[in-house]
Amino acid sequence: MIKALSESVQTRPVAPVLIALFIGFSLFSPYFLTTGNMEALLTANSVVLIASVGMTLVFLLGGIDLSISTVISVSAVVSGLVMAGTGSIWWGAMAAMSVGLSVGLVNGLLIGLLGLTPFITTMATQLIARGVAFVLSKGIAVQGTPYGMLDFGFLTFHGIPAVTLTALLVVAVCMLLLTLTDWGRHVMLIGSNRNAARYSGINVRWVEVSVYSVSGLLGGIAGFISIATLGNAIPGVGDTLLLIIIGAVVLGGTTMEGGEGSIGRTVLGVGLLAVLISGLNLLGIPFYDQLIIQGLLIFLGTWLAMKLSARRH
Amino acid sequence: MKTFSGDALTRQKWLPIAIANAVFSVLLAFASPAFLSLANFQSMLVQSAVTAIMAVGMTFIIITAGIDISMGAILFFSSALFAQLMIDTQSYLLAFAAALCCATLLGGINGLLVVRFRMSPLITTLATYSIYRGMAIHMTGAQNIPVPREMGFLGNGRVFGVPVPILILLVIVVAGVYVLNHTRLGVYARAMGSSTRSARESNLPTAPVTIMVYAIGGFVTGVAALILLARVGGLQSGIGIGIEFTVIAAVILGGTKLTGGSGTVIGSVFGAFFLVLIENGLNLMNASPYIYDIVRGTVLLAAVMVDRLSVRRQQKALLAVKAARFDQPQSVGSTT
Amino acid sequence: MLQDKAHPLLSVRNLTKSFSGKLVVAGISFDLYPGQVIGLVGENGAGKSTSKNMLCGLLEPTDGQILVNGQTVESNEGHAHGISAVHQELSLFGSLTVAENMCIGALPGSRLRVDWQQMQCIAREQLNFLGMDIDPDAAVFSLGAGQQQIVEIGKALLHADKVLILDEPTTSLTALEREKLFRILDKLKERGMAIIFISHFLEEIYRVCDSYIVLRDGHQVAGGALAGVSRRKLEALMVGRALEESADHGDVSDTGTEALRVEHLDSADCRDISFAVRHGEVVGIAGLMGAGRTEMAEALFGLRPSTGSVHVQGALLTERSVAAMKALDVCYLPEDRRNNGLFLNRPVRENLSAAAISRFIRRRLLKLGFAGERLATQTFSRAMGISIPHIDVKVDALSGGNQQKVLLGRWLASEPKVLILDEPTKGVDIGAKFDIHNRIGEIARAGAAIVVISSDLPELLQVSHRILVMRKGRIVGEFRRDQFDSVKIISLAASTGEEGLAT
Repeated sequence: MIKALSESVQTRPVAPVLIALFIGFSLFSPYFLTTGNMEALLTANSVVLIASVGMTLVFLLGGIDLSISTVISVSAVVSGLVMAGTGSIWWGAMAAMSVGLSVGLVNGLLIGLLGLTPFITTMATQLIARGVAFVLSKGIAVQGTPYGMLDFGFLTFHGIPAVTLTALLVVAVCMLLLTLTDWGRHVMLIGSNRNAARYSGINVRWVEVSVYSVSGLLGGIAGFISIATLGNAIPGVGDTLLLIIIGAVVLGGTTMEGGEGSIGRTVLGVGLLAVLISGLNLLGIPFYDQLIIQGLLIFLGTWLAMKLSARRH
Repeated sequence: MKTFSGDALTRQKWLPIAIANAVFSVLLAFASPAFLSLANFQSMLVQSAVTAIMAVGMTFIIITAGIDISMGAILFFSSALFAQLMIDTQSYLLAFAAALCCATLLGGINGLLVVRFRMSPLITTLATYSIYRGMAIHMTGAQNIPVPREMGFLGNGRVFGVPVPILILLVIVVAGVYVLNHTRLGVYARAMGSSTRSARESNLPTAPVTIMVYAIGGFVTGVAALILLARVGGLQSGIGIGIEFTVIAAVILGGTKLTGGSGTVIGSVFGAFFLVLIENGLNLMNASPYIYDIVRGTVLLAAVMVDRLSVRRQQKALLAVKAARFDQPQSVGSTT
Repeated sequence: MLQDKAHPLLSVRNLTKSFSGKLVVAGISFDLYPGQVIGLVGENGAGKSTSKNMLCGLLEPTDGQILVNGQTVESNEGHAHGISAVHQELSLFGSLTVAENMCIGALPGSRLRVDWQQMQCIAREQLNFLGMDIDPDAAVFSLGAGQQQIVEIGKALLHADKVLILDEPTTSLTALEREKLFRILDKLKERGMAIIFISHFLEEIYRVCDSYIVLRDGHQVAGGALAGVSRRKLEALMVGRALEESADHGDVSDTGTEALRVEHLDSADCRDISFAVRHGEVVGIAGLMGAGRTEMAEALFGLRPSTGSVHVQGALLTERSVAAMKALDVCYLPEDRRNNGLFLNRPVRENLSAAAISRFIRRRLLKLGFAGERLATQTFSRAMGISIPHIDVKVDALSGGNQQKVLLGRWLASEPKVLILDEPTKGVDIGAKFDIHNRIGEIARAGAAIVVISSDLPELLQVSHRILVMRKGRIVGEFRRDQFDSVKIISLAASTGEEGLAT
């Protein structure tokens, strides 16, 4: 029992830290554990959670998707415009997902088929997506969000916001895909050794195209959710999220080298950052000091994950 | 006289972006006669100075197959330090020295961390990005701080009729070209990016070189910070956000590859200038500034696609050459 | 030994190296005089490379002494003692110029001002001496393989004023370039340089060397002046051990149907490859490193561009890819285990099921889950004799032999009808080697057609019914089991000209 516990602590150092932080903040700030704060925390981090899952898939594959942050923006804007025009939430959701999927597909085709570097490719599509978001919205929040969408943002089931439930559903589906399907297995294997995957007859190109597409799709869903949580489609919504998304993924222990990590770990990573930020806010720590703490955490987290994985070998 | 190392190589690398610049300039000249004035070119050069100066440093880093995401944060940090020190001490000398030293130091720390912890430069500098930025805002208490009016000289002043930013850019470029092409550091940097294994087998001083290139990146960022501060008139909270991506784009456009090994300072400067040229063109067409990002991204994609296709063609040609040896006679005479 | 120069430049006494208890080089000793060229010969894995690495300072010997000019060298740094090596895998910088590559170890000029003119002079002088017309300002990647080899030699010579070690320097050279290299070596000899020459090509040994050392399984089995030693004798010394004909390996009947037919396969590294393999038959492919055997197999599986036709069970293949081959139960076990075979940071279980996850296991519901995977892989790993504590151990943690069994198991799991094994026992200990040989026999008897590519000739003689010999990208000979003759096979694989083809 103790051995099993110590082993799980070693492989998942994030979990105990998360629990410790949770308890610590609850003791220091009476407000931390209130329903209001918890709801706010969950709502605020649903968008990051969904996008982080997309980034995790790409990391597991051994790539990187810098465009995911502005895919959130552009799909939010398009979705907002569609909803303002049609008044239909469903059309809005469809629009967001198609925009996200298309950007992801473009990334995937350029990287998987043409063999471009993921970093530059997604950096370029990041710029393009951002530009489109600002052009379409003329740089301001899209007006005319349907009331249904706002209601969706406030809706809760037993104290859990509907947006969070949506995010968790996405997480569950992706976990399912990653752990229970051939596709998921192939993602891990390609990330572990791309050549060996090729020599094993795995269709590497197709998997690469699909992973970037899924990442884009998740960015689209995250963009749609962002409208519900913020009340408007905001063209700059994704700009500041990239650091948090990558931070959450590496903090969870999924490395950029590929083939090592899991969506579960990323959920813990997102949770850790969320609790940390919320708690630090309550303790009155200014945002700039939080930046320092976040940076240190990302650094130490990655270093620790690397050390642990090296020791287990 | 052929004293330039890798002359043929360097010439090739920056040629495409130079041609792109020329072609685009001609096109714009047709579109608007006002474009072809000395004043306009000067103003474009001034506009590109900050990115171009930083791109010189980034070129060194990328040539060793590294990357520095924290450059924007270093830019902000040294701006903040300078502005704060000017308020506190009123001493230009101190403020200048501190800003440049600090920028160099922060860059050097990046290099040190990359060497010491062997984590990917991307994640390492992503972490320091957050830390440096946080520290800078902590220092200034998130205030916007104006800088003295005389500082404007660095941004808008002229010496012998040449705008100061252009002069500084010139000095940095000449220095960058010299260091990359004429010092051991430059040779080692190119060698390391070309093959890590060979660098190890040849016993090259990889750790000091890594630290040095990141420190150079920090130093030029410090210089860029001062120019930017002078041009903007004071410290603003948005300074440096996302600029590292523009800088990387300039370097990539200049023909340097992210995989390291080769690249030119001149190319990166041309790359930075090209980005401004595009902006200028869009301006002439009265395009919304929001379109800039789209065009920039597209240009970047186009550049890497063209490059990739030419590499593919080269690889195919190489295979053909290899296969051709079967068509040659097997050996000259019998050996037994 | 040469008598005209009294003092040896380099003396080696009882040089020994063992890796984690396994003896790789067992006490070699020799003296090297100025102007002398020693040929170091032996089969793959005989310990030549390890010896070379100890001599040039890349490896620390476990035991023994190295003396330069009669003085014991404490910690060998190669260059510092005037010893330099040209490795088979060149240590050049592709994007640097020829001059930069040659001088990178000691750049002329100061730290802040590299003296390009002097660097060019040095490079040009070196290139002139080597008789090569290469522009010192050319980027190394733009040069052909032969020229790169010369640059590497030039680089080595800048540091070596006493001893130069060349490891298989001619594998990528054309006949003309090779002759040029030999003339350079002659010149170096005249200068009083001592050379250690490692090569598979015995003709080259006779052309270049004046004395020889034969290594076999890490032991120095013979050595001395080359004059008067016949080629046959040298070959016999290299092969050494008497061939154990395996009793259990009955001849295959000629009636098995054809499983794989390759016709006129051309690629960048092989030309006009045609052969056929029947069910139940094991065909060995012998040849030296760089003979194009791996490249041929990879071309067959669409891993390299190629032309020509491949028939599986009589049907012409329209698309060449690993997946298409897999669908027809044709499998390829790659040579380079670490880079092309194993998923090192993934568990044994996933490595075993990687190639056939969808048909290897049963589904829980819908198309989800890998219900039978754990059990199936466990059973399989036991059947393969893989010794691991549990099935979720990362492959990284296994020994070479077990890793190879895992890789082999991955392909056997899909019950292939045609199996191409590339160096199936490279870096594997004796026990595992024995297991793998048995396994090959079993699946062949069960009706699979097997092609074994191996540089280990005794292995081929042991497992194959028929051996094809490849040289420089072409098939140059074929031996049936009753014609097996290791000396003949080696001499065919290692000859340079077109001698009479064996049939």
